[in-house]
Amino acid sequence: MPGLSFKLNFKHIKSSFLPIPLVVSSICFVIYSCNSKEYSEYINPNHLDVPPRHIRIIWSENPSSKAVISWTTLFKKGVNHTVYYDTVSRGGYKESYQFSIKANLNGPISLNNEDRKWGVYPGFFHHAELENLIPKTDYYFIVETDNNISLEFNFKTAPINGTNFKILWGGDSRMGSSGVNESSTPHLDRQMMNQRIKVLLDQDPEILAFIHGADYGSTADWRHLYWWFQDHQIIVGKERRLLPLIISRGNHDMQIGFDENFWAGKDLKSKGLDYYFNTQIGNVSIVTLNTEISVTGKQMEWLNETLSDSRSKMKWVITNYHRPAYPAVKDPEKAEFKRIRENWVPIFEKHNIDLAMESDGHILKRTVPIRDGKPDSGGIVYIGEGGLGVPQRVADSTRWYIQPPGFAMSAHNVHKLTFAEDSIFIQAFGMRGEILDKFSVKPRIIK
Amino acid sequence: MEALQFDRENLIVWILKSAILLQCIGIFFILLSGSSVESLFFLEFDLDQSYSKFVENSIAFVVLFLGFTIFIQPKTLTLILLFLLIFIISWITQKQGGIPFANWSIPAHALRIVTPIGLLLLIKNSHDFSKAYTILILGLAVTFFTHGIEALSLHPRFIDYLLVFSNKFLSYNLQQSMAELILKIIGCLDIIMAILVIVQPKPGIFIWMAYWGFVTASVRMVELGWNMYPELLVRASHFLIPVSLLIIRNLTVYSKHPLLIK
Repeated sequence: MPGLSFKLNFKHIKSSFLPIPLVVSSICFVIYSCNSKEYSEYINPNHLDVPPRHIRIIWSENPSSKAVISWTTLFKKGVNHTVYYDTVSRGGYKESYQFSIKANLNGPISLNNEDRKWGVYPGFFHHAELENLIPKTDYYFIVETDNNISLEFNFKTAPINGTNFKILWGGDSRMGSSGVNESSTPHLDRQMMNQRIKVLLDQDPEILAFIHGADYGSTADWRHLYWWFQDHQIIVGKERRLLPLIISRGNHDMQIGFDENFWAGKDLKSKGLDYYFNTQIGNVSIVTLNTEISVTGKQMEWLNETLSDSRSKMKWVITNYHRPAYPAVKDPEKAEFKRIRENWVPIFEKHNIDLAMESDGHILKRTVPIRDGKPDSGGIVYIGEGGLGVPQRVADSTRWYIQPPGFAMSAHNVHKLTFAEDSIFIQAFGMRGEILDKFSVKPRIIK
Repeated sequence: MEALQFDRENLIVWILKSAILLQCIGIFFILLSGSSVESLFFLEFDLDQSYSKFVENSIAFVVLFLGFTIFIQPKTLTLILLFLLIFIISWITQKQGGIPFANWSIPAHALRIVTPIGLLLLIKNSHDFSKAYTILILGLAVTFFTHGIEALSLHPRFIDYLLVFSNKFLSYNLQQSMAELILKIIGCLDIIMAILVIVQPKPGIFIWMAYWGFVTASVRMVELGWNMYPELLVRASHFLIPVSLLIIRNLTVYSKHPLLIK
């Protein structure tokens, strides 16, 4: 039967036939590129006893009683990884601390060919989850890897009630200064913004945490995250105070390095939450969403339930996610934005959230209050879209949702959210500390 | 018989030209609405944003111009130029990332990349379909195989397509776990089809691939409305190329083409 013998017959392809080798070699190149991620544990034997670095605190669901302390070691994974902590300063003498906990997770940070090409040091992640902490309490801690001990740092746990505290928020810290390669340093603009955050923290001890709207580097590969962590070390307040991070995941954070370096504790995985969670600080609910996984599936059901629950119990309910529903720069009809607008925004409006924080566009914006796709004085204000060092774009000023009292401008920015019983006061600070925007949100439900 | 073959040859050329024109229109609108091209120039080459956007728009218009030019009068130069442009756009998408499975952009776009080359081979080798057939079937197989791997890896957008399709058209609230199971089955099916189209290219395989190519291209509009039509157009080759391959196959059956007879 002729049809059955119909197969490719390469003998008809002449040796002078150019396109096929071209295409085949292109495909080979792509397959090679796609497989470039390797898991290396290369250790340079010439580097010994490098102290712990990149020390950070990650908050997710229960910041009044839990915190993940993470750090990096270079060149060697080590054997013994411990956090020593107490409610009073012990000056860094590990025997003096009342509590200690072994790291829950340790492992090599994945390196791919690009990482090696750029010469980033091989690193190892270490994560320890502190539990049963006392709310609204200062904790002092050191981390140890094989007798290499860090300096003593401290942080404050979240309160379980009340609204009198402040939080910083910003997004998009990839790249950072003209003329530097993405895999290199210095990222001057990012460093300047981190310096600004440090100044804000030093000026205002009531700032409890920092919410990041995602896109830390161009990718979450180690050559990018390494420098992000290096630059993040600028944000150490007076008396070595660290700001706990509330992390979200963006479209440039999809590599395995994100999972390796931003472990958010045991609860999320056990609940099946793929980097979306509800952080309750006092009487404020901060709902972090993940725009890079299914928007309409389990996450949307969870969002509906969580906002319903939080709205009935909490004074303030705000959301943080990466891809904007109302972009000020990019085309709002593109699928990634329309998907958020069609699926999540109706839930935001149904439960009357107080504020939505968005990133991704590389600009500073504040929308008019929006409900049902049009201006409405009782609607939701969307702020963002990311300016922690990433080059800033120019907004499309014709869009209806950034007309006065909304606005958009090209400026690096970090927001300070001041919570009180009768308002959230929001200020956007520029790189030099100038106030770029300020406004208040009034409560929707008076309890 | 010769008249029949001539008609079918013309039909194949017309199908390929239509696929190229439609995907060029799709690429044109996608680039105009913003893509990785602007990000590359703005963020990595440190160009001014307006200049980066100008470059992106210029590429969009060049692609559109090539699409129409090729549709009217396909020439070697324009076809090779379009092939290179589509390859470069896919490479930029892969390099810039920022979308799920960006690393797989080039194999995922394999069919749209090689379609101009397929047409070039067709017009350069009149009455000899073997080279065009080879390049197009390889592109088709690579694209299906890549989409199969993405489906097996639970591509988040594919999950959304299934959930929204079920909700809108079947009025059934599909659970994500079920959608993931369906997606794994779809992924396996795509991979099987990609292999079968190479080793046992029966008419049913081409018909299925044309049907499935159209369904998956259209589902973007199902999810988010008619204005997602560029996403359908840019995937025109996914359903038109299997049709053209089916015709080539039948043509060679009737004409006892050496590609068929061993």
